[in-house]
Amino acid sequence: MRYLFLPIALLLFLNTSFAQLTAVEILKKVDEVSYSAKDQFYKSKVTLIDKNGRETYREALMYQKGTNKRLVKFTEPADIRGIGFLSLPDDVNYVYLPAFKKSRRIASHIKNQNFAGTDFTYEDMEALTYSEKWEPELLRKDDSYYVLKLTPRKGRTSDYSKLILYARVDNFYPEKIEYYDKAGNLHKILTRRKIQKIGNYWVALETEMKDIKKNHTTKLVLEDVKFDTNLSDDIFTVRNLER
Amino acid sequence: MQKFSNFIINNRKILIFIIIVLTLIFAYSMKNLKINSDFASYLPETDYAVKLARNIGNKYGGNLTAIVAIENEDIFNHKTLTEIYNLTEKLKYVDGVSYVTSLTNVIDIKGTEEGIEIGRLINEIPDDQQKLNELKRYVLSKDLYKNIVSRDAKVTLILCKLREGVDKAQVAKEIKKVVESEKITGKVYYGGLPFQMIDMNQLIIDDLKILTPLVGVVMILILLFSFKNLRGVILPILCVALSIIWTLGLMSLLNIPLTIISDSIPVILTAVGSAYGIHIVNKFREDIRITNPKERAKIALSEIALPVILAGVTTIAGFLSFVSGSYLTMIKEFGIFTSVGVLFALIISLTLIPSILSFLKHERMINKVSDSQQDRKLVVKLTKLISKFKYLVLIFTVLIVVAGIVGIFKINREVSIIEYFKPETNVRATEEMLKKNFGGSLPLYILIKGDIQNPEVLNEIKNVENFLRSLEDVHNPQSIASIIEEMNNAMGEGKKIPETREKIINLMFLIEGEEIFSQLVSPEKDEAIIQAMVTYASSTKISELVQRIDNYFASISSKGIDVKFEQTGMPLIYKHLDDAIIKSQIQSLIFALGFVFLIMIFQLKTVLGGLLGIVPISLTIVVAYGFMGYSGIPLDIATVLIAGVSLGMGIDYSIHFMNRLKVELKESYAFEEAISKVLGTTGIAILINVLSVALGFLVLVFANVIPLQRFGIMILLTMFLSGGATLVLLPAIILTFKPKFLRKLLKQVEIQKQVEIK
Repeated sequence: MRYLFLPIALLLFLNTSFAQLTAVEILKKVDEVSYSAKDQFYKSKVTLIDKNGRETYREALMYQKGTNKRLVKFTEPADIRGIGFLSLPDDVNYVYLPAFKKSRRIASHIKNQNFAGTDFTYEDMEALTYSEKWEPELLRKDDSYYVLKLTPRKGRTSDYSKLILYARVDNFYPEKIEYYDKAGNLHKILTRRKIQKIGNYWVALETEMKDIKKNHTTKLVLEDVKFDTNLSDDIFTVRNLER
Repeated sequence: MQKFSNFIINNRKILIFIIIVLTLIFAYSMKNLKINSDFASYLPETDYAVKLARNIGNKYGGNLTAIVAIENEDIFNHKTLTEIYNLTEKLKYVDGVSYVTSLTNVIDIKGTEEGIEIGRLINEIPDDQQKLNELKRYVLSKDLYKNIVSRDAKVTLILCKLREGVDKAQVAKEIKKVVESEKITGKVYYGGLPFQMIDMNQLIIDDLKILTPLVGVVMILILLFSFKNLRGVILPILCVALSIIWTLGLMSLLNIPLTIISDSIPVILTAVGSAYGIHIVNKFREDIRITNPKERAKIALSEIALPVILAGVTTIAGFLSFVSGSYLTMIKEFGIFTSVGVLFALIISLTLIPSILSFLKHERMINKVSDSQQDRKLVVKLTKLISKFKYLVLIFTVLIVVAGIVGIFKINREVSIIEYFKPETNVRATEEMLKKNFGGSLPLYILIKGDIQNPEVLNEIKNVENFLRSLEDVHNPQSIASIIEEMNNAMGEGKKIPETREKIINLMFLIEGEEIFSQLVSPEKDEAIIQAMVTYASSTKISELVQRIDNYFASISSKGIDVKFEQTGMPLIYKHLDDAIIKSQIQSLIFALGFVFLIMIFQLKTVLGGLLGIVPISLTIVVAYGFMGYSGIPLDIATVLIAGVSLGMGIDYSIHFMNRLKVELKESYAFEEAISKVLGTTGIAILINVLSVALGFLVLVFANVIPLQRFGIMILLTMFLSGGATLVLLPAIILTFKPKFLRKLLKQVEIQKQVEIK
C-alpha cells in the first residue's frame, strides 16, 4: 500500500504544480491579447433584450486609454443623448446627466450594479487585467480551447465566486466566460463572436452577455474600431464628460 | 313505476355486474385526485379583478408574494445577514419565483457629498459591531426598507414574488424546502397566500381522510340502532360508499380538483345518499304478503320508487341551484358534482338495493308487531297533542319567523382564507406577527396608466401614495415616484419629483437595469404600479377600503392630466368574492325554492299543495339564516351553500310526508287518523333520516377548516328544523285548515258524495 501511495502522491503533486504554472501562463497570454492596445475607440450599438423578447436599442461612443481610463457617451436614442460615464484610475467614476447639467461621482464600491441597464456590471467593465484579479486553474484543454477556472485572488473582492474562461488555443482570445454567483449558480454567460484581427489586435465585433437569472441579454456590435490613435488625456476629464 | 321495477328486478344480475365494473374503474381513477385552495381561481377567469391581477402578474413579475420571515434578537449580525444572503441567492433559482427581495439585495440610493450611490444596501456583510450598528441605524431611518425590516430590527422578511400561472402551493413547498435546508438561526415563519395554501391543502386532505370514515361510522351506528338488523345498515352504506367512489373518480377523470368546500362532498353524499337506501329498505320491511322475494321486490319497489326519485330530483335541484346561481367557479363545481353524486346515489339505491334484496329471503322481525303496536299508541297520542295545540304551534312559528327575519339583517360575511384557519394554527400566528410588524400580508396594487416619465404623472402617483399612506389599513406603499425622489435628492436637487421630463428620463436611465425598476414600471414606461400591504380585518372592512380607494380615484380624474388609476390585488379579489357570495346566495335560493315549489305542485296537483309543501323548508331557511345573524356565523364560501343543501334535503321530508298522506287519506275517515298513520310509518323513516343526517354532519364540527365546521353546524340545525317542521308544523297546518285538495281524498268524502247524489 505504502509503495503504491508514494508514486501516486508524487504524480499528483507534479501534476498540480505543472498545471498551476501553465494556467498562470495561459492567463497572462489572455491578458496580453485582451489588454495590450495603448488606446482604442469604437462606436458600439447596444441591444437590450428582456425576458419577453422586447428589444431596446442604444448607441454609444467608447474611448479607452490603457486599461484604466474610459469614457462612454450615449448618442442614441435622442432622449438619452449626452449621458456619459467616465472611469479613471483608482476606481474613480463619474456619471453625467445632461438634463441636470451635472456630473456626479458614482460610488466606487458598488461593483455589482449593472451599467446603464445592460447586463454588464461595473465589475465586468473594470479595467483590471485577469491576472491581477483572478487565481487561475486549468481545468482541461481540447482542440479549440483552454478551459480555465478563475477564483478571486486573496484581497480582491468580487461579486462572483468563480469564472470559467474559454480561451482560444490559437490566439488565446477569451471567447466565452461563464460567471458563477456566490451561491455557486451559473449567473451569466459572455460570448464573443466575429473575432477578427484589426491592425495588431484581436477584437470581437459582436459580444453577447446573457443574464441567466433575469433572462435578459445585452448584445454589442462594434463599428469604426480604431486602435492606438494616441488619444489625448484631455478626453478623459470631467470637463469633456460634461461637454 | 310497475314497468320500471319489473325491468330492474328482471335484469338484476346484469345491473349488479355493471355497477361492480363501474366502481372498479372509478376507484382506480381516484388516485389522481388533485386539490386546489387557490383563492383567485374561485373567481371565473373572465372576472375583471382576476384579469387585472393576471395582467399585473405577467408584466411585473407576479402579484403574489410568499413571505419568509426570520426573527431573532437582532438581525443585524454577521451570521444572520450571511444566512439571508445565501438564502436570497438560492431562492432566486426556485422554479416559479420571479423576484426575491431581502435586506441583502435590496436597492439603495444615497446622495453623498460629491456623488450619488445606486447599488445594493449591503455589498459586503460587515463583521464588526460598529459597522453593523451603523447599517442598522441607516436601514431603520429609511421608509424604503419598512416593508422588509421591523421597527425593532428583530424581524426581517425575504419576499419571493411568484410568477404568474405557476402552481403556487408547489412553488411555496419548494421555497420551504430551500429555507429548511439552510438551517437559519432564529425563528422562521412562512407567510402570505402561497404558504397559506400549502396548509389549507393539507387541512383539506386531513379533513377528507378523517371525517369521511367518521361519518360512515356514525351512520352505521344510527342505522344499526334504528333497523336492528344488518341489512338495513349494509345496503344504504354500500350505496353511499359506491356513490362517493363514483363521484370522486369522475372528478379525477375530468381533472376537477377538490376545494375548501368540495371536500365535504363525501360527507354530504353519506348523509343525503343514505336516505334513499333507508326509505327503500324500510319499504321492503313492511308487511307485503308475498313470499316470493322476487315478486315482493317488484311490488315494494314500484311503490317506493316515485317518492324516492322525486326526493332525489329535488335534492339534485337544490345542488344545481349553485350552478346557475353562482358566479364562483368552485361553487359551480361543487353544485355539479354533488348533483352528480346524488344522482349516482339515487341510481345505485334504486337498482342495487332492490336487486340484492330480491335475492334475499324476507326476514320478518319477530318483535316488529308488538313494536308497531306501541308505535301506534305513541303516534296517536302525538297526533292528538298536535291537534290540541295546533294554534299554539302556528303562533310560535310566526314568532320564530319574525325573529329569524330580524336576524338575517345581522349576518356578517367572510371571504379571507386567513379566517378559515383556526385561531391556534401557525398560519394565524404568522399572520398576527406580520400584522404587528409590517401591517399584514395582503398585497394591494394600484395600476397607473400614463406617461410615467411625465413629472405631472409622477406627482400624481406621489399623491396617490400619500393618500394610501393615510389609510389605516394600508402599509408601506412603494412606487417609482419615491425612488425618483430619492435619486433627485442624491443629485442634490431636493427630495421631490424633478420638474422636467428630461431629468426623469436621465434618472430612470440610471436604474433601468435594477430589479426594483422592472417590478414597478412597465418596459414601455407607459404603465407603473404602486405596491402596498393591506391589513385584513374583515370582509366588510376590505370592501369599504376598496370603495374608498375607488372614490379617491374618481375624485382626481378631473385634473386634466392624462393618467388613469386602477386598483387590483387581493383586496379587490376579496371584494369580488364577497359580492359574488351574496349574489349567488340570493340567486341559488330563488332558483331552488322555485324548483321545489314546482315539484310539489307536480306531486300534489294543486298550487295550494305546492305552497303547503314548501312551508316547512321556507321556515327552516329563514330560521337558519336568522340564527347565523344572531350567533355571528358569517356568510362564507361554505355557509353560502346552506340554503341550497338544506332545501334540497329538507324538501324530501315534505315529499315523503305528503306522498304517504295521500295514500293514508284514502284509507281513513278523518285527518287525525290519516296523519297518525303517516307519522307512524313515514314519520319514523323521516325521524331516522333526520337523526342520521344530523349526526352525520355533526362530524363536520371536528373539521380543521372553519367554513366546513360552520357548514356542519348549520346543516345539523336545518335538518332538525325541516324535520321538525314537517312532522309538527305541517300536521298542525293541515289540521287547522283542512285543505280541500286533501279533504277530497278522505273516505267519508266519498260517502258524503254518494249521499248527495241520492
